[in-house]
Amino acid sequence: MRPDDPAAEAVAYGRSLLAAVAVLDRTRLTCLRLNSADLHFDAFFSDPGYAELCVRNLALRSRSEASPARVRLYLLDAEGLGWPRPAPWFGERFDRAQLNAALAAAGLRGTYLHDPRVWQFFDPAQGVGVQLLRRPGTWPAWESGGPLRAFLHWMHASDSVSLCHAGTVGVDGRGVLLVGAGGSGKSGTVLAAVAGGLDTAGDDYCLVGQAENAVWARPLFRILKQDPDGVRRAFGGSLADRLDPLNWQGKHEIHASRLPRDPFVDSLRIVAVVVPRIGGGRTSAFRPLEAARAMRALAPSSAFQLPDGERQGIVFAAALCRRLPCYEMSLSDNAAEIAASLEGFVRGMP
Amino acid sequence: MDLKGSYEVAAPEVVDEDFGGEFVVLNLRDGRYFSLRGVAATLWRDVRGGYAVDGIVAAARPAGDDLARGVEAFLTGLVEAGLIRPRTSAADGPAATEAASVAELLRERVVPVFEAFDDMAELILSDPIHDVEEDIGWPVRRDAS
Repeated sequence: MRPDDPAAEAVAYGRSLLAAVAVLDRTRLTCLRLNSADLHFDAFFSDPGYAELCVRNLALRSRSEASPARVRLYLLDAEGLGWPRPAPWFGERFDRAQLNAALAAAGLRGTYLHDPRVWQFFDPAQGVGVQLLRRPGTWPAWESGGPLRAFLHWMHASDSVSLCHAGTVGVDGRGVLLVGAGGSGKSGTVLAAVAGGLDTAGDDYCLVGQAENAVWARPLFRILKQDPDGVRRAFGGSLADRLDPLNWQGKHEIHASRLPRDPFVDSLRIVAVVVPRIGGGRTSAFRPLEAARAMRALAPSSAFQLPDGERQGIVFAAALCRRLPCYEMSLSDNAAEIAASLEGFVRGMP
Repeated sequence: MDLKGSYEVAAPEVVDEDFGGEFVVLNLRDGRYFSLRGVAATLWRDVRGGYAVDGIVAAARPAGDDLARGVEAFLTGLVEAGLIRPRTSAADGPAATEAASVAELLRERVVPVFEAFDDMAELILSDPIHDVEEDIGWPVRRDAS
C-alpha cells in the first residue's frame, strides 16, 4: 500500500471492520430479523433507537422464524461499543471513483460520509455489511427519510433489480414510475395522487425489477417527503399542522401512519415511465416522450445519487426506458385534478 | 487540437446508450451527460465504428469549409469532454468515405452539435472533505459565499 493511497487505506479499514464484526458479541446488540421486498436479512444494532427508526421507516414484510438471512448488517456506533472513533478519511481529497475502484478490486462495496464521519462497507460474497457511527444518533441527516439506503442498494442489486430514484403512483396494482431530478415534481405528484386515493410504492426511491413479462416497483421506505406548501396543496392545512418539524431539506417527512389512508402497496406493475413537469393551468396533459429523454430524466439522478454502481444503474435505466412507453406529464395546479388525471392515465394504459 | 486517426469511447468512465436517433452519453468521472441527436448521433456511431476522424472531416469538406470546421469542432468537443480518446489499437479503420455520417453531412449540410447537462456534475465533483456544509453533509455542497 502506498502511503499516499487513501483508497487502499479505506479498503484495509473496511476489512478490519468486517473482521471485527465477525467476532463481535451479539448479545450486546439489538437484533432484528427483517424482510425488505422478500430479501431476508438480520440487522444488529448497538443503538436501540436506530433499530426503532429502521423498523418505523423501512417498508418491511413479515418473515417467518425459519427463513434464513441472506445478509447480516451490523449497524454500530463506536461509543456504544467502546471502539475507537471512526477513522477520518485517509487523504487530502476524496475521490469517489478511486475509492469505488479500490473497493471493487477487493470484492467490496462501501462509502464514506464526511460530515457525520460514517463508514459503510458491504461484502457481497459473505453477505455481511457494517456501518460505523461516532455515537448513538449521529447518523446522516437524510437517514430517517430512507434508512439503510446504501445497504439496500447493495443487497438488492442484480441485473434485473435496482434501486431507482423514482416516485410511483398506481391503482389496482398497476402504476407508473415518475422520474426526474430533485425538484422536478415527483414527490408533489405522488402526494397529490395519494391525497386523491391512489397508491404508491414510494415518492423518491423504490425497488424496480424487470422480469421477462413485466416491470414492477416495490417500496423500500414508508415515508413521503414534501415541503409545507406541497402538503397544503394536497391535503389542506389540517395535515400540515399535525406533522413533525421540517427536515434538513425543509420538508416534512410524512410517515404512512400519519396519512388518512396508508397508501403503500407491496408491489405495482409498472406500465409507463412518466416525466412530470410543472405546467400550471387547470388541467394536466400527457404527451409521448422519446425514450432517450426519459432516460436522461431517470439515469443520471439514479446513478449518481447512490454511492456506486453507476454503470449498472445506467444500463438498467436505459433498458427500462426502452421497454416501457414514456410520457411527459404537464402538471396542473390542482392536486385533485392531478390525481384524477393519473388514475385515468393508468387505467387507460394497456 | 490535431485530430488524427481513429478514436474510441473512453470506457470505462464513459457509458453510452443508443436510442436509435439519439445517443445518451454519460461521463462517470465528472457526472456530465450528453445528448447527441441526428447527424451528431451518426457521427458518434461512426467514431465508435473506428472511422478515422480526420478522414471524416476531409470527406465532409466538399460540403463547405464551414461545415468541415463544424465537424472538427464537434469532434474536438467530444475529446475535450473526455468522451473519446485515440484508439489504442493500431489497426486501420474502414475508409471514411464510406461512413454514414459523411453521406449525411453531404446531404443535410447540418453542423453537428451535442447538448451537455451538468446538473449532476456538482454532486460528483464536490469534495466532501472540504466542500460540504458541516451541519448537513455530503452531498450538499458548501455555499460558495
